[in-house]
Amino acid sequence: MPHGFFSLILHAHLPFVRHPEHAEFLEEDWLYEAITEVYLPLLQVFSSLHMAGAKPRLALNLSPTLCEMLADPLLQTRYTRHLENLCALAEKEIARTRHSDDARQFIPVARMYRRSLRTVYQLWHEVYQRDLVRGFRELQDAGVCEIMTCAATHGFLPLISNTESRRAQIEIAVANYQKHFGRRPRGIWLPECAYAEGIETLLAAAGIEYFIADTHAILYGEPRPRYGVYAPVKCANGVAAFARDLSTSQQVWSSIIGYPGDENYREFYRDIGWDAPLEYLLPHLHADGERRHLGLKYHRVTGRDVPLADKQPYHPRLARERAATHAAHFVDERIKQCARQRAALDGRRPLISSPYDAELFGHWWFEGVQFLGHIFRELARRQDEITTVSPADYLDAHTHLQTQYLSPSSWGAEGYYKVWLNDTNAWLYPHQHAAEARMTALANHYTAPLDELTARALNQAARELLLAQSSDWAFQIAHATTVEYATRRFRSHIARFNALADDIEHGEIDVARLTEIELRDNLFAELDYRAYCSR
Amino acid sequence: MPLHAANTLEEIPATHAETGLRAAARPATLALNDALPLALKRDSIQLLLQSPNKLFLYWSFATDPHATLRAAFGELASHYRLAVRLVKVESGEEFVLDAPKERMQWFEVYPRHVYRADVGFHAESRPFVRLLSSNELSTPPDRASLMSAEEQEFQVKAEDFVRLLSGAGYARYAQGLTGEPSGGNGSRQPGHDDVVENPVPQTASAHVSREEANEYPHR
Repeated sequence: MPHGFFSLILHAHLPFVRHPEHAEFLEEDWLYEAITEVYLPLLQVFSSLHMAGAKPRLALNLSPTLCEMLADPLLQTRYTRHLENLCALAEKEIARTRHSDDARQFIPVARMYRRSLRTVYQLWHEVYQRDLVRGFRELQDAGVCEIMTCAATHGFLPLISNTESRRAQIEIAVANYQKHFGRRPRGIWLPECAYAEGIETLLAAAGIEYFIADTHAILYGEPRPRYGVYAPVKCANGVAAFARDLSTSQQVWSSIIGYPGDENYREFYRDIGWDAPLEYLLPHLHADGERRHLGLKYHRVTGRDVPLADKQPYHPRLARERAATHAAHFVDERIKQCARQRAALDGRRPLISSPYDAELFGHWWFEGVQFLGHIFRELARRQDEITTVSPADYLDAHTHLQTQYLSPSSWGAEGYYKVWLNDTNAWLYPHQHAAEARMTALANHYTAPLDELTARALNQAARELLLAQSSDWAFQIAHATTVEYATRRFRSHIARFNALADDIEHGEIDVARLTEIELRDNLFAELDYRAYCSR
Repeated sequence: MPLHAANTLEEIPATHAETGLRAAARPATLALNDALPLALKRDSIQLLLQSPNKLFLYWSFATDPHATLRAAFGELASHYRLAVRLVKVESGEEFVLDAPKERMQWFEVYPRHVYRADVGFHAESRPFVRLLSSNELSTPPDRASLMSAEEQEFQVKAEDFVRLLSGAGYARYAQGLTGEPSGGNGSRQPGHDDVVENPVPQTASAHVSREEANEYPHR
């Protein structure tokens, strides 16, 4: 009999970075890079595992903003252009590495990129015909993955000021999930795993059965959890919570003890976009000619403290072998962990819940998707020792859970809300909260809209509020990564919200401006602003 | 997944052939240097949780509170200063300080307590004149519970729980779990975090950092 259960949970999310106002836009590249390096490879690996009879089983969250972007025709067209450009560069790289003595050592890597990009191109055009949401939906329908929802725009729920706005983030997400996946979600990835008392009430009202929380949500819950993090608990209203197992997180995330720091893996920060002569790269850059990451990287990690300039050439074969070795180690450690914990839990079989950002695999950790493929092959081989489940599978088989009052928490630094509320980003909240109060007031006032135009303006105001609430802006400001962009995005959405609210209240809607805003921020076509009504 | 440096433009340079997007006469964007006014001048106050040890308060007034004060108190108004008061709800203890111009304030607090904040006028030896009163907010625990479950199946003694966590690599989550009321459940033992002192406004972080498991860019 297996010693326990293992549940891999991937959280795929990007903020809504669609910029129709420009032919090219740097932040749209976030999506294109993730499609090339993460989403298509994940689809390919799990489809292959399924076809091979390995019966992989995992949970996957595709955030509503990501689903909307993946389904957007403009972004699909632009991604096609982006991919063709990358394929052209990869072809050029074959010639460059062949004809230069210095670059000859990189021939195997150039060939790898040409091969993998050709595969991506074929997957994009022929297999999925630009529709990746369908690809994931088919995996769910085939029983490979259980797709969870997330809050509509990844709003950090504990820092949203009123119940109506929190509820709208959840209800709009559920409606969007139904549009894309043709069923209701059973589980939700709370943005940033951020929990606060009362959120479970909104989840239950939306028909959601479980959520993912951070380790101490349960370990610090009241009363203390009999099984630690090795079994989900339920809130008083019956909604279940699964806690992150920290040891598996560290094994993958930590740059010190984690696998991605292995010297044979590809170095993320050494990119041809910065290494090659500018004139060579120009046809592949944006019209501004600015250098940027292009995704072709020829060096390996080499060593933890090795400067970028001294990184050694990447060897795809060695990296593939390390991914297989690490996957075998990972599974072996999980089996040992299950056996050890089973003894400590008086024979009850433990569940190890391992949630990760999906974009770690393939993007930050290039070999990460290969690693996942090896993991599920190894899990299939050792299925007598460990059982792979999704959270809902576990709930279906284990109905008797301990009841707990969970601790407020998140998976951010220090475990609470500091990343999203600190000296750098606290200025966001008075504006956001004022908009939340105003949106609720508008929805309550216009329970039946005066006319179609007012309804359009109200719906767009709701979209602008939702976009302003994305936790990504506070995160980026706090981490000083893309502060100007995040600041501009937040301010723009609040300004648009206020402009629309003013128009609605004055009964004079500027149709041209409303139309412009609708064309820019065109997500959630199905949205009904009455989600913000008080109940 | 923030990857690269920001592109800062949001203006529409021209009618966009690819999208049909056309700039309206009244702008839908905001220049980065333009102020972002609060849409409604309103009375508002909000207390937010950052961690078991820190809270954030902000507030705004629909009208000038000093005018209200002068109308109500006349000459006596000069004795009063605009102040922020943090109240520990269970005990009624309070801590008062001058309200900063920025209309926001950080507080260092204790885990597992309920707090509320007020903004109003304060004068020595006179009652606090409350103008705005915030939501009540419970600070979360910063350690495992002293309570075991009532349901027999889920009961676990403190020492067994410590052993479970330590064996699983979670020893730091078991800190402070020493001693337990006899019977194993129900009442909490007076303990470490029940020491009641005045909370203080933030001067420096009192956090002891948790070991950060996540080192790759991630939320």
